[in-house]
Amino acid sequence: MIFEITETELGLHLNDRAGFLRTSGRYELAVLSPLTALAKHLPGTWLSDPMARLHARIGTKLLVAFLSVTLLMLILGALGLGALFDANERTKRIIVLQKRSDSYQQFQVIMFDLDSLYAHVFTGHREGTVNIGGASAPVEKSEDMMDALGGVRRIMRRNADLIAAESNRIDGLVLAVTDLNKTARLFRRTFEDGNRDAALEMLRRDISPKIGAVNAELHTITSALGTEMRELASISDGEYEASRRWLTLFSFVAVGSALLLGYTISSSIIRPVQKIRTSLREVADGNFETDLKVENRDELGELAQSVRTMAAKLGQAYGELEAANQHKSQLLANMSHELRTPMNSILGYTELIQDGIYGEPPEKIADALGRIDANGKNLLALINDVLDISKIEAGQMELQIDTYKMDDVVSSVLGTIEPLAAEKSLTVKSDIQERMPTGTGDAARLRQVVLNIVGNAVKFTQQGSVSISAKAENGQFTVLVTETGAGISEADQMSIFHEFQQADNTSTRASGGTGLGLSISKRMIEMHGGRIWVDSNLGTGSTFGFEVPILADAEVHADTRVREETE
Amino acid sequence: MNKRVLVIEDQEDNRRLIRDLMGSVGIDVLEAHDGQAGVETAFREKPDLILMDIQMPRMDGYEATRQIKANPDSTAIPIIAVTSYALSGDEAKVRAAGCDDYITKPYSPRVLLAMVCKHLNKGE
Repeated sequence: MIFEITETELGLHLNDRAGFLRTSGRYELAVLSPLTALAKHLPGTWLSDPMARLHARIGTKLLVAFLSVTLLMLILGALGLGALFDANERTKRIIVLQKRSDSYQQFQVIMFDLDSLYAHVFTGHREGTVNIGGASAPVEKSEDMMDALGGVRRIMRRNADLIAAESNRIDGLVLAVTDLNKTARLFRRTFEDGNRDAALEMLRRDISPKIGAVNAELHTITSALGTEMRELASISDGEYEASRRWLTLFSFVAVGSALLLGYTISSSIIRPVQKIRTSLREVADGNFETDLKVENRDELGELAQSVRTMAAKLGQAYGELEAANQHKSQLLANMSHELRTPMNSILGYTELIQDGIYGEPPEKIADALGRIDANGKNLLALINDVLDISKIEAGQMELQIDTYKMDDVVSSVLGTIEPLAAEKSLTVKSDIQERMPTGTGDAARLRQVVLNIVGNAVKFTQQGSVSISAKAENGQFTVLVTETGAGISEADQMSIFHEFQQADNTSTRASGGTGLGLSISKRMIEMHGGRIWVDSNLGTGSTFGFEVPILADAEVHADTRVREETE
Repeated sequence: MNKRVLVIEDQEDNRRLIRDLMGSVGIDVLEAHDGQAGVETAFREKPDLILMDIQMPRMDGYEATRQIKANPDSTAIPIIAVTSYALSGDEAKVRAAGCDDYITKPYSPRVLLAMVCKHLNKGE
């Protein structure tokens, strides 16, 4: 799950509750990826809200969650180990039982052999084939019995947890076997002494029942053992069942708890992040009234608070900026009106008088009127320059982009300055490319630039010529104005495009002008996306030139102040 | 019958200027000192042309133009706006309000006269 908070231009809206944050970053919550996918689609704020409201740091919450899950796993492991341990214990018990069973089985085999040996003696006697050896064999066999008993005793001693009942039974067995042995030895002596009949009578009367008694004891023991083994087996089964059920249950509980915990924590983190992201997007779109409310009282809660505060501050700042801008444009409009209105009267009435509306003015007055008119026009030009510069400085200058013909622009300027040039006996040469393409730009401003440059050329050239050329190539209009004036020094070349700088203050102050013209021209050209320059050598004259794209982009009205400052 | 031009302008200097200018070619001049009076005079007198100053207090030239153009009785009267051309949006605003032409201050009276005559003669 990747969250992006991207950079965008901030819009405008006045509000006291918004915030400002400008960040760019990618945050990956890789640890809980599947859970974050879950968090996006399930509701369950009743789960995540209490978690969010916990007044603890996110790191702490995550740590606690992680430790809890670990703990659940440990418990699960412990339970598993416990079950294994129990199983092991049961196996050990079964092994012990098995050993005992083996012993008793051995015993039973001996008893069986004994029985058959005695039977052999009995039938041998009837047939007259039995001998001492044959009679001794069973006795030796019953001695073996004692050894086997000893083995059982040993097992008993090693497993002290054997129940008392079994111990008693073994004692019973021992008694019976001891008794049988005594009788067996007596039988042998009787047989060896030659009282075969008496011996056999003893066999029939005493030994057989005593064998039966031993067998009976053995049977009791082994069936008790059998019962015990069955009991153990069923207990074992029972314990396994219970164990399995508990383990399964706990596994479900553990997994369920872990998932729930994971979901709760992650959604208590993701929800606010999503809300904040949405809020920031709204702020970026200019809506400062974004309603950001998160339940969290941890770092995310603080973050949300910061976002709210910053949005509010931004909204406020922007509102002030907007108000200031309004104020500025209003001021400029007022200034323009206030300055131009009196000029209207001065120049207007002068013209009316000159045109004889109030009667033909006397010859003597004509000259004075002419001066009033000329100075008025001068003043107007200065006012216009100042207003232009004010507009540019205030960032309120905008170009009126439309189609125009560069040849018309240049020709009209030529028409304007030709009389002035003639007065100074300057030759005006023009070289305008034929059939130049139609351009897009602000024709009025471009005319202003051409007039400024050509006007300067005429103003600052005392003799010789002024040539203007205009051509279109490589997608640019290039206009060059050459004059045979005094030339401009290297140092002055750097500064003349800056406000209030004229090349040589003393000689040119007489020529009038604020020195704003070139500065304004430079801005106008640059706003079209073009450039302006001068080539000059002292003594031989100067060439001013500019080039603008034939199709100046409508977007090119950006504030050129920054560019100015970096140059 | 003399042509009649209504001048809606709050500055006396400018009104006098236009009065003298128009008078020199035999055009009668009606005057109004503000937008409101101008609108009323336009409805009442139905002049042949209106010279509308834009920057006026209370009701400005745009609003007065809109009202005059909105009235079917006066909508045909040509209106020439006189503006100080402060900001680049002015020309568009002038046209949007319904003006037929405009001239920027300070203007040459000769030029203004030529424009007035052009619009007056258009009707014939």
